[in-house]
Amino acid sequence: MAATGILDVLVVGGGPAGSTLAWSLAKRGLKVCVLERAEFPREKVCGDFVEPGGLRILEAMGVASPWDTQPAPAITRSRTYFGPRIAFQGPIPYYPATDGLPPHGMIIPRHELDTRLLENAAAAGADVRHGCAVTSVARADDRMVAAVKTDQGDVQLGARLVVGADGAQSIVARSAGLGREDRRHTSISRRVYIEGLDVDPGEAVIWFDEDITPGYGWMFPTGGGRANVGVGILSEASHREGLSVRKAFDDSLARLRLRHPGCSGAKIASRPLGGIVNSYGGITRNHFDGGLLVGDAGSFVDPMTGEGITQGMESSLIAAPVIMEALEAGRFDAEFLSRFDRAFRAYFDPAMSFLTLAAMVLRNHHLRRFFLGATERGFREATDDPDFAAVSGASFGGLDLAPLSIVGQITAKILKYSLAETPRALGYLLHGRLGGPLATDARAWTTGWNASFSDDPRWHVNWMADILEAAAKVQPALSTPVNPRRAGPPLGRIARSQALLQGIP
Amino acid sequence: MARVAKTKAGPAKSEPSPPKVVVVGGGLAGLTAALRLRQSGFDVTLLEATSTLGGNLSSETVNGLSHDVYPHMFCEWYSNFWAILDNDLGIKREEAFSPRMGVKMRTKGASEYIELHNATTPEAVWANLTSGALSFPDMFLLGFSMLDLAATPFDRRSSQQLERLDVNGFIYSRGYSTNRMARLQNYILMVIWSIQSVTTAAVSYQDFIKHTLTFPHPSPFAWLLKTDTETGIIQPLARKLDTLGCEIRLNSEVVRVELDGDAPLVSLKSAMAGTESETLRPDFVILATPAPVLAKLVMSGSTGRRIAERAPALAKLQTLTTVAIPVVDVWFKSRLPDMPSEQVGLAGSPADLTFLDLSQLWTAPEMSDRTVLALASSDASALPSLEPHEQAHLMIKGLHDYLPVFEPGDRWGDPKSDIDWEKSHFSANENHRLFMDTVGSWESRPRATCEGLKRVFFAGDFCRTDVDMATVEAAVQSGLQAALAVQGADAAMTGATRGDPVAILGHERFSDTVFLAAKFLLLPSAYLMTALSPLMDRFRHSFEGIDDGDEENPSRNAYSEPLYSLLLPLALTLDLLKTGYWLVRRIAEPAPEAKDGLLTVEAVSSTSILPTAASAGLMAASQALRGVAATLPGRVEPGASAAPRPGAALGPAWRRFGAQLARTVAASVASTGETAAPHRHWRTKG
Repeated sequence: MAATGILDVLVVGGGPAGSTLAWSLAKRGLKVCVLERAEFPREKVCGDFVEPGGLRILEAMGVASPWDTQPAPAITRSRTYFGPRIAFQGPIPYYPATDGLPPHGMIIPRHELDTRLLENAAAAGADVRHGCAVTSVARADDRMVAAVKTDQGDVQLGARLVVGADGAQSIVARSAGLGREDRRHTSISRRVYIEGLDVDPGEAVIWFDEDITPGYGWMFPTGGGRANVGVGILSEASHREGLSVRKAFDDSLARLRLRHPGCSGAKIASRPLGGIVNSYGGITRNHFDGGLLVGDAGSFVDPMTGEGITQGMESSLIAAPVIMEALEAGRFDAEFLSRFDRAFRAYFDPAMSFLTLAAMVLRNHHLRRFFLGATERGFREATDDPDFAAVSGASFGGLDLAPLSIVGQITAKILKYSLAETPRALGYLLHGRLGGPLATDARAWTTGWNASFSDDPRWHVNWMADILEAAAKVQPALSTPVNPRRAGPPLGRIARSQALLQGIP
Repeated sequence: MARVAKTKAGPAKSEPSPPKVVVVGGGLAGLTAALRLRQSGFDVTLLEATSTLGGNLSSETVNGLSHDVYPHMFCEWYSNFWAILDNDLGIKREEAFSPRMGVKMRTKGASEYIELHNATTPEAVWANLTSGALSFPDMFLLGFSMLDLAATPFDRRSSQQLERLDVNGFIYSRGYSTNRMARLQNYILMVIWSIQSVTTAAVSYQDFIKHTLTFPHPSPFAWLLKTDTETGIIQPLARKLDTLGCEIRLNSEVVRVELDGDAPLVSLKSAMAGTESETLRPDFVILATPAPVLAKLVMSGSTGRRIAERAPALAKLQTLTTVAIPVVDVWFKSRLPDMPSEQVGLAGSPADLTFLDLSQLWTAPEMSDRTVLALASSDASALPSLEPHEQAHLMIKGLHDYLPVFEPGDRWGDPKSDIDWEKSHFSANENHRLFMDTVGSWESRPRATCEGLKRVFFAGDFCRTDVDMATVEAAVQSGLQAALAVQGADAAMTGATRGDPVAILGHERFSDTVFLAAKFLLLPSAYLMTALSPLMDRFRHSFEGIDDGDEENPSRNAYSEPLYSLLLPLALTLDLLKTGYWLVRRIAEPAPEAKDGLLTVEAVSSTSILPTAASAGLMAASQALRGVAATLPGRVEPGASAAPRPGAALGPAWRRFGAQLARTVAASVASTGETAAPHRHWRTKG
């Protein structure tokens, strides 16, 4: 394999971000090559959850039906467990059918989704090569050179620009000195496919337990009595508190069988696999001399849900115009490519800076009782208050996130709750003791706080500093009136007009 | 009359001759408008009713000596005023003016002056708090109330009835007010603007405070002119206008301004009785007279031709009020000892006397061997006489009560006294009345342009500008706005702008969000001070034996009742919630800066800078915590133990944390002194 003529763009990695970028650039007439390490189809550790925003992009790219067999059912409902209790069950309240968004998500197994997406990129004119593992990327003169390991031996490939779309452990990022090793912004997950279920195929199930806090577990039905089951937990908590993801995963699965009536007969249908994701708050920068990072390689993962398929595709669609500009201007230096930084921050910061702050606060494993109690109460409120569910609920996977409204709603809820509980607390006080929910909350907080501090004062104060730092960066979330993700990335708009033309909602 | 005949023919559009503008009124506003319009190529005639230019900024020469109408203070932030001096007249501020960092106060019987500084540096703030003008808590509350006023999110639409509020009423509505701070606030307003705090519009005063608060960028309180205003400002300005070819006609009183269609007709008072009065027919007219004169002019003329008929709102000009401040220039026969160089207010004097030592300021040789004071009475109604020299002598005797170092004599002209009566001069200043920013006046004040009037424009310190309180800068800015409006009206008719567009400089000032954030942070201290204020009084009464008289007895003041202090936590909570609410709103949607749709020529806006400031603050706090964290013990082997150890280590660890935090804060406070200058970028350039 020898390079014939110089490539415009070399995309390293053929996951959703890489293939979306290759498709987008090839459509614009660029000479693009995608290097994928594996032979497709291949397994990928993931929850397989594609949000409405992701479906909108798939639709626009013409990958509306990415399944090998029959399509998965639309996910429109959810059920949330806190321990053995169901705190919320009903339609997902923040999936409105606006802006060309379908009112549902879908569980598309990654071995199917990624294969279709990459085929789509090839169909658009991108040069797709499987079984090519990039081992390093370096800048030579005015071009980028990638060292590639293939079945036929090692080769070098030159391109004007390199885009790292090679996942959480990106080689490209490491070559550029942008590798992510910050456990505060990394999550570990483990998932398996199960079958033999008798569940509502349109209902996603998630659960919160102490052994996976901060984090959560999921059961996403793929249809046909099958589902993707897994748990995800913050790497830092797992590392520091000795929480074994493997054990938590096994326990979660056992508990699921007990708790969910439809899962009692669940059988393991695949080998459990573990993986990691890097979330948005860990981004230092995603541009370097000669290239960019997109998808998981660029840490475009929601810090609250760990979702990254949609965000990865969005980051690619934001990168595409920047790459076009760079090629037109003949500028591939980091300074010019910093346009990508401005572009993706304008798009993602209004939501992500807020979610990062929330994730930062929830990071303290010692305060898990308090946080779990508060979250559970939030989910229960969502059952009774549709408005609260639609607005504040969006912080767990909603596209149209409105942080200022969320802050307002939660403040109002806390005030209301405190006022309502004050008489009971006073009643207990008159009997000479602390009691009632307010006292429980206060005790959970002080106990957790003191435990956290006495356990590791340095970590605790650093945690406080992290929260302040995240708060210092939260301004875009408070001052952007309409979340840009709602309208979608540049291609999202094309998608909408196409959908309208075809009469599809 | 040739010129009149020519203009009566009307300028044909094809003719190259420029449009003719008549500016009525030769005060600073009129002079500024004339200057800018002449520079833009208009044919400008300036009409002044009296024999001197300058209006309230003029001087009178008596027996060969100059006497300023008023001793003026020129603030650092008067950007448009300083621009004219520097760019057009070539006058350098540092050479022609002398800076003053603050003002002084003297109480009766005291031997020392109390110094009040412009609160633009931490040192100046501290000096003010400990100045002794009031007890520390009361001084703090006074300063805080000004910050609070600056932070109040007034809407400024004249339809907002609730905002028709006076400064004293504003203070009364605060949960932390004390009687003493309200009195000092009233005093400050009296000595600077001769207006009681019960009549000063809170919105107007807020505007002034916002302009003045430049913390932490040190700047003088004011600059004082080293000579009389005629020599220092007005003459250079008149010469400049003359050089540019602007026609200036003195002793030309305008008695009528009428409209013939849209065209203005300006009628002058006839020089001799019986002769026909002269009528000018300019293309545009700018009325830059004092408010009472303007109120008459817009109502003058015959039915169907009156300005007020086209713009009925102008009838409300009649409600604008003015005040005269009598000034005595007191020439002593010799130098008085230990005179300060700042403006001095005599606290508690019935006529609210202030004085400024001109002999330490002016470079005039005849002042070299003697003290000359400009002594003003901000409340002339307290003088029990209508006879000028009696009034003057009463003021001098009032001065003697506070400064018994000279012999005042028994009457004006008494040879036994230490005063050189020949050189001394009194003026009741009835012809130089000052505009008062009274409650509700804003809605009666004209803009530079008025709907329905295409060729008539207005200027004067009482006009609506972004400088609300009547000041020199307001006069200059109103002149610029009127010039810009004429330029715009001309451009609308001819299709091209004549000359360069008139530039109006903005004023640097903090945005609402910054004031709100500062208020939010200081609120707890303010309420603490309110609780301390009566305690301090008790302390003074019982231990120091000081008795301020019955009216100062704290038990008589509902706001100082120790019992009332028990309610303060509630008041504080409410205030915090309200302030927090507005703070969040302002962060989310920066304040609408436009006031009542104030002119499109209004070039002043200020964007929200709080995000930057707040972010910087949070980042600094975060860094400080990291510094603290680095000194604390951490777990050696992460993941070794999940169970929290018992709280044995808790006490010492928190103590270490506290001590380290204190050290870090102290270090960062110490370092702010060195890095004060870069903080300037927190402020916006309007």
